[in-house]
Amino acid sequence: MEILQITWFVLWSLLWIMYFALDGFDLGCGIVMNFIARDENEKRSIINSIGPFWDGNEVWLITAGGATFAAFPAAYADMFSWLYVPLFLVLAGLIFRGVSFELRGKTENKRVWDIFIFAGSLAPAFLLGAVFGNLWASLPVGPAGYSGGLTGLLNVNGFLTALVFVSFFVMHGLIWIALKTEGEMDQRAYGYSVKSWHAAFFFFALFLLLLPFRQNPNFSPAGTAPALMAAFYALAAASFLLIRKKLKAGKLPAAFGSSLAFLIFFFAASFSGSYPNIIPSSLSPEFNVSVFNSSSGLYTLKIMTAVALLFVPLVIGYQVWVYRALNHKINPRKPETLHY
Amino acid sequence: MDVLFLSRLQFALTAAFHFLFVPMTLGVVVPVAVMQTFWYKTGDEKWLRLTRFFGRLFLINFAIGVVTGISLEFQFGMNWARYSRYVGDVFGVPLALEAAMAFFLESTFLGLWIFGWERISRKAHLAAIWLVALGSNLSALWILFANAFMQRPVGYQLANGRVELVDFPAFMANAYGWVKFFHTVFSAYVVGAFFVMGVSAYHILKKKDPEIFRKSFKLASYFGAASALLVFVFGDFHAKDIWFFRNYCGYIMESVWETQKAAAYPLILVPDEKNETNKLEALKIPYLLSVLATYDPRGEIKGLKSFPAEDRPPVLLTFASFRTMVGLGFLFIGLTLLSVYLSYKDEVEKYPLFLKIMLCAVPLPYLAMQLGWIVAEVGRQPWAVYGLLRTGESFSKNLKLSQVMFSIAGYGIIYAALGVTGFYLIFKYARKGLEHY
Repeated sequence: MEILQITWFVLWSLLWIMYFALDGFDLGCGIVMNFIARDENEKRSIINSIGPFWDGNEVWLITAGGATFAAFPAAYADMFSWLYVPLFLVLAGLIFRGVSFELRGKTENKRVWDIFIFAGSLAPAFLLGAVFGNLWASLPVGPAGYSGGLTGLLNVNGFLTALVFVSFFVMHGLIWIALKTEGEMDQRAYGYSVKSWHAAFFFFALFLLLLPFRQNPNFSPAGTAPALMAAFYALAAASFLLIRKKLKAGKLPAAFGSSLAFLIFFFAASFSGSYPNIIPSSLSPEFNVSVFNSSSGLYTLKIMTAVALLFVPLVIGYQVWVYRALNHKINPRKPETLHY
Repeated sequence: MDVLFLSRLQFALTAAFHFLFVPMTLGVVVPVAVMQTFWYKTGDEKWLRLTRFFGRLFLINFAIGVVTGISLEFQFGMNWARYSRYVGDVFGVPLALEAAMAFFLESTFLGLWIFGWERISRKAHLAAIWLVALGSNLSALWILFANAFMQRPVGYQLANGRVELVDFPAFMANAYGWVKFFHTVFSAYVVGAFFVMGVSAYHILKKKDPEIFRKSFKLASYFGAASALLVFVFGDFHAKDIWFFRNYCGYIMESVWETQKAAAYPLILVPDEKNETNKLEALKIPYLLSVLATYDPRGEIKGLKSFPAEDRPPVLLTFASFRTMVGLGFLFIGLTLLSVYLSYKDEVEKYPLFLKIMLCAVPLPYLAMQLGWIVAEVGRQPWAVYGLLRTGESFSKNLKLSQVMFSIAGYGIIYAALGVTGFYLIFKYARKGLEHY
């Protein structure tokens, strides 16, 4: 039973990692679109560059939520009811973003949709950063749970992690635009992606420096999980440096690959650091919501493991296939690459 | 006005809104895939134009369907935390399967379909839309089985203060689930068929590309007639299954108060909930209710009065919804069969009144679907999980009234704007016709 609960901590983390690594660049594109694009064709190019992929990427969030429900129903119930307003705002953002992509092209006035794309991408990035920043450290969870609302998440750690997420996704999105588009905007995006790397560097460094001071009474430096955390942060740092190297060399595919790797290692490290807790309590360890006290029964975990082992590789397989099938570049000045 | 009431209202409104868009998605993707298949097989450009035209309407609808579905997944945890803790071991499994198996499939391949017209082979592109259709239908399967567990818990044991899954084959063998799945999916196909027929009828009436829209009208009429008949067949199985399991929903659907044998079926019936009787019963067809419920004209059926009052849901709403839905179902069979007949003889253009009726009929299947869900969900009250967990014990205890007021106001504003915009755009592009293509 314990092995399955630990396995599911890993699988659960993996689903969130996939979500952030993939939807990360969609959210980043949405945040920067209004600032990078200078005309309608350029905006269209950014939207169409993520057009085929953003919905499939967002499904990793839905799957992470569904898997939390199935594998750790008590954690799911606690997380979603305690973080009611923040998660509602995340949802609102996703709704605005999602419909804007589809409906924008069908109205004369595009201004409103552009604002929705920006807000609908910024809100989930910022708020999920605040949420996970606290989940990776701890929340004041007492006998009646957590009642601090949204403001309770915006402590130093939460606020910083929110900015970390935004800066990482902005960088990720800019590299994607530089990779997928051609022409003037491509050059602009490339220039900004290097600048965004510096911003991300600042936040990443600050995040790592403040790690030891994070309110996390459950963390002890001994054991496999903390060792993995250190290893993953090291790999993240290495990937992060590789991003800059590849960017400077003009090797965009490798730069994007490094950015993907960076995010994967960063999130893997952060989840490793919070093991075995999903919602750690700063008040007392007896109130921790962990994989050991919030999981489903053995039978359900076994079924869910079979489902994950069967479908996660399959999904990754066909999603990669779709990325490769649609690997053409988009040029704002060449309408045939814009339309479909 | 408390957290429970507002949470129920919120879930009802957000689920009903989501379900304005889901049936059209399910019901239009199949005709669109068929249209594209005809184009692939015959090379006739008319089918390509129809595919892209109806495909665009499908996409507007799909986008709203997707985002309004995420709110439901979130709401289980947000507003119904005690429910989630209690059923998650069982209920979470189909939800996770829905995401892993169905959502990924439909979202990934729809992206490929939208953007891949010129980029991948025609065969691969055709496969893409069929995979979207498969994904959508699989999604319906899993969520309906999750709901089926709420209606008729199977394959579980009570342990650790919750239900725990112990028999997945039994969970999947839940007859309620299979009947409900086919009944619901074919109903959605009726929604899609009427949508395609209605839009086609509009253009035929306006004499805009009538020779092309005649083809889509015909295709949709066959699709609709077959589906409407199957809705009836599975609806009958569904009701019989409910009667057989003595789930009191049967007695509410037909407003039966007294246990009786050889029960007649009043065509006209007005319930009187307060006095536990029916104010009016007229045009009684002898033996019919017993036959419908038990296959035996002298069969005995229990009445609502044999259940304690605190275990009964609202009768009038459930009963009226059920009767109206069934009446509409018969109407759909009639209209689709007529459509098949006229299409077969290539005579639809000769009957403008008929075409106008088909245009006006488009909202009716949408209404029928909402009524069906009212029967299922209101009819299950006061239970969240029948016989095990009451709705009143399911909501999140930690929530403050202000939080739920915030979210319900938020949903109200966002969904109203989405609904208006979405339907406005669907109307606009439906009216535009094939000119862009």
